[in-house]
Amino acid sequence: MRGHAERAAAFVADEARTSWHDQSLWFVRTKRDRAADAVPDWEALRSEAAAIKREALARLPELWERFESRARQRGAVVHWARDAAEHNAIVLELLRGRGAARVVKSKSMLTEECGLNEQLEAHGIEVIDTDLGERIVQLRHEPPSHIVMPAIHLKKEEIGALFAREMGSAPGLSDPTELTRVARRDLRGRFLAADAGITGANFAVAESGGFVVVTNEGNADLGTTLPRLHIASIGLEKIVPRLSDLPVFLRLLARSATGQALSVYTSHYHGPMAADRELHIVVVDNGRSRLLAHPSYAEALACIRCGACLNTCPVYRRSGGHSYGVTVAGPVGSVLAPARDPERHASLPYACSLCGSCSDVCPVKIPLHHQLLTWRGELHARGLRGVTRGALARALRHVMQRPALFAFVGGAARIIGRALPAAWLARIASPWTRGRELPPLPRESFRARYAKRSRARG
Amino acid sequence: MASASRDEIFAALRAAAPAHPRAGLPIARALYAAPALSASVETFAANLDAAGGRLVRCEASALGDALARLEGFAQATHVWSSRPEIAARGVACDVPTPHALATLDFAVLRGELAVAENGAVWHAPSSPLERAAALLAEHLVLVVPEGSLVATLHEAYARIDACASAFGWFLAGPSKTADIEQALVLGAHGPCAATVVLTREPLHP
Repeated sequence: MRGHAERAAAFVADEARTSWHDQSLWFVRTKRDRAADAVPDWEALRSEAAAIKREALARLPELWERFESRARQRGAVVHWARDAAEHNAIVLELLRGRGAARVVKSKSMLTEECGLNEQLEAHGIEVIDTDLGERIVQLRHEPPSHIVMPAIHLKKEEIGALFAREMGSAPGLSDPTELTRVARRDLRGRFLAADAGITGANFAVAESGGFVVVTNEGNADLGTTLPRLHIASIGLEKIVPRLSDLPVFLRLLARSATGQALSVYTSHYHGPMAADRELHIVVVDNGRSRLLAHPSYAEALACIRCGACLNTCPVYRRSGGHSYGVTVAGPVGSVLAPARDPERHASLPYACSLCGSCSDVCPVKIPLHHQLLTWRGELHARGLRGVTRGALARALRHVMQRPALFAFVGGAARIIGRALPAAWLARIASPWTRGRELPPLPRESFRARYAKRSRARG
Repeated sequence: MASASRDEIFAALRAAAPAHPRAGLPIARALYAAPALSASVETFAANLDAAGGRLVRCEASALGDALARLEGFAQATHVWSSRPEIAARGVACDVPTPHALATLDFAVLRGELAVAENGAVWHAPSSPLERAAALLAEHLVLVVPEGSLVATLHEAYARIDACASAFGWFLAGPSKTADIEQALVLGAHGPCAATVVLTREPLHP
């Protein structure tokens, strides 16, 4: 089965592009650092956010019961979906029941995870992703490569060519401002014509039965202001107990994501806004309760999807989001995906150098690199580790348990290795040397040098 | 059947909870207290500027003059206002649907409270129309009493009632995007410009 490395091969083959991608994300990471440094109580905030999320995860049944009853009091309708298929069926039924043919959707990784667009399109409903980055990847028929910046892998010239083809803009246009204006005009018409708006949610609040949606573009807001029907899809992990918890997360979220002090639009929904409007909330499990039961990985449910762990990850930055083959890429995605399907995503915990930077920047202190290491042990125990890697480890174990054999193999390798041209050697050591340079082999072993040194000292 | 799904989900959550390593343990909250940050107009101005917005300060009685000085306001043909002292232009405030506001030049709205640490203003629109005006106008103007300024979001949430109405939002500058090569563009889907007017009440002797 193709793993992360195989999927990343085409991306890393273009060295200039890999380096450009790396630097784009590092730029976002440095913006995050500046924003975090400007908050004197940043570390205390992270601790508080982590404590609130862990409290919420331990109280989910009670919190959702309260949410449901408060939301109903405010006039919202709450639906429950065990999995993606049920979620899609509920949304489809709501839209069909009201004759909605044109839907505008703001960024929602949950609806991506559920494959909602494909399902609705199969039933003749037009779904327009309205976040600019998501619209770009939708028109290219590809998934987002980043949870916050869906089109971070694309160059402006590629987007210009896409808009010329899809929106009739002037060919050769590549100025980001001009391109954004083209998309704005195109999407404004679609907002005005929409029958329904679909959003995700960043936070649901048990105490008030409301939820918060955060965007910079205002697309979620236009999509829920113009049409009279609003459907919000919310994952089970998104709930916090109190309204007073919101500032803790909101002060962390935008700073961690893009280095902004706050996103432009932080919208609080508590029931439909007028008598002629409908608000439906679909609460989705789709594997979350199973993950909650897992002692090692349950904490990953605390994720607030800021993307900071992606931006800082040396592997993500150089391999691109599509190499992960999942909706949520990067470190947190590599923890979440194997819980869903260990066999299919067995390579992801290895797309990691265990540098620990992800855990350091995580605003809710998920121990991501520890979880990735735990996954490796578990995948190994289940026999899901790569064949080459497994064979290599077994051979090494055999040699290293036998000192005489170890000395012989080392000596032979040094003689042969020093005699062969470097290119030959690289071919023998492949696949290790694919992307690495083999260091020059020493003349003698450490043991020989140590023995010599001891003799000299007498 | 939907209620069967609900029962199944709650059963799964209840079964999962005991397996959670921290379940049953008292949750240690960090007893978080926000440090005293500045609630100064200067801090607000700097953060609003970083968010792409502009700040104007004036006496409450001079609001009309302050608006007239905004670029494009005098020539604007479509102005929507929730301030009684500011006359609407070219558009009735009771249009039947928000769609009728698609050609709005300016929306002048009353904000409740301003937050120094991020340049945001809390606004609770009284109707879907008012909310649409804030999104469809080319230039959004939020008029907020200067005395409402707080330092951090924590203080803001302590003052506002975030669930008092069906909808309320923090607005921080004009709509923006950086989805094309990380280049910042103001005016993604909503306003291309945003101005916050902090008004001072005259001191009474």
